[in-house]
Amino acid sequence: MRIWAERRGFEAVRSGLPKIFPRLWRYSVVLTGSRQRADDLAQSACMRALERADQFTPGTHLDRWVFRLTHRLWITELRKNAVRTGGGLSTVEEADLVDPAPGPEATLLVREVLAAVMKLPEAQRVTVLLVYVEGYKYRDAAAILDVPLGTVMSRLATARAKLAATFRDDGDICDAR
Amino acid sequence: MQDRYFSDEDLVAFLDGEADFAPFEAISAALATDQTLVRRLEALRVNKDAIAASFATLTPGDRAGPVLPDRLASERQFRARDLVLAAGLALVVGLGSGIMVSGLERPGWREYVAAYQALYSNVTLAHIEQTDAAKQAELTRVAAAVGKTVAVDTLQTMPEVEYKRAQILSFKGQALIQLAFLTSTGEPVALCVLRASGEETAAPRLRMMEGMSAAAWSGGGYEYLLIGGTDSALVSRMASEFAVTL
Repeated sequence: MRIWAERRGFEAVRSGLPKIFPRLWRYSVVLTGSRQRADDLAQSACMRALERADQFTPGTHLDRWVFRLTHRLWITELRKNAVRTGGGLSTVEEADLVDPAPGPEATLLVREVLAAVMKLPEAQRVTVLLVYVEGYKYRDAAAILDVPLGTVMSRLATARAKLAATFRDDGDICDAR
Repeated sequence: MQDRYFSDEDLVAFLDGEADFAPFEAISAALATDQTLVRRLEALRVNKDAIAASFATLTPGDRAGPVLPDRLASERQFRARDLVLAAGLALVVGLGSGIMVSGLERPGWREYVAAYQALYSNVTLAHIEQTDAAKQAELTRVAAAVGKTVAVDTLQTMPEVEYKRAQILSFKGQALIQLAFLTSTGEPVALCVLRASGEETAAPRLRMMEGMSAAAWSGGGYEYLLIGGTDSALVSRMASEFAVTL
């Protein structure tokens, strides 16, 4: 029975990972602040997900499960290595985020907004990503990040205040919800 | 005049439509008369669509997708200790009933290498310091055992791994070479090379062996196994490079 459950979980995770990989990679960029470190984190997270596939319940949300696992992997294991090897975590270079071959949609505003969010502290920018880009409810974001709901709300409040101040004169980003 | 204080968190939950976490009716009512509250709310407004649109441009692009092994770790390889147990069982069954258990997958050289690598630790390699000239001399001697020529420079192109030493091992009388590395996080990684019996070519495939990340490939008359640590992304990058340069 256990082997069967493991196989079922493994197949569900393995077949689902390629579909969510672009989102996982983007999430990894936001966590690590760098495309290169995101490559490593996203790949490591995929391997970790497969290793622990027996803990995944097929039919539930693979993306939330993988995001949570990825966050934990980054916090507990990889972030300290990134610091130790001189990766630096506090500064996110815009040049490292801009797609080397941007499409026509990569307008100045889009780049500015992306850069502004990425300049937020890691905890705030990842919460912004989960709630405002991925569309998770507060409760889901709190579960993924393993923090209390109030922490999600205070991070969003701080992030919103900073972003709104940055773009105060720019109706495109402030003139909304 | 505001007679109830709303925190920024209340206002953000209000803006985000999280009805469970914001006093919606109270805030809506207060906004009709309280200009200070209106200004506070304005100071928290952002365009979520603009944020989502900006992140839509952040894609892996033409980066390779994830490298995913196609079997469970527990099923992947027949471990040496499993073989001992199975062989013991086969012997008991065979002696007791006269029936020989057949069809058991014999572990190959890679499984033995994995079991051997599992005994390596940081201190196995950390003390080894050699000049490039000494490394090259050792490498030339060792690689010749399998009829290869390897330049030390091809092993030292990745900043996150340090090439340490080369050794000649033996698997069932056949020479097997082991090139040892230490990662920047202190984990030992080994690249082992064996002459292949055929001319099969196979691209690197990632797997877990003995709890370690590993990549196996073959080509040019050789079989390769890169194994060590748990950083699968690093092992994958190293394998991709060595598959081309060696």
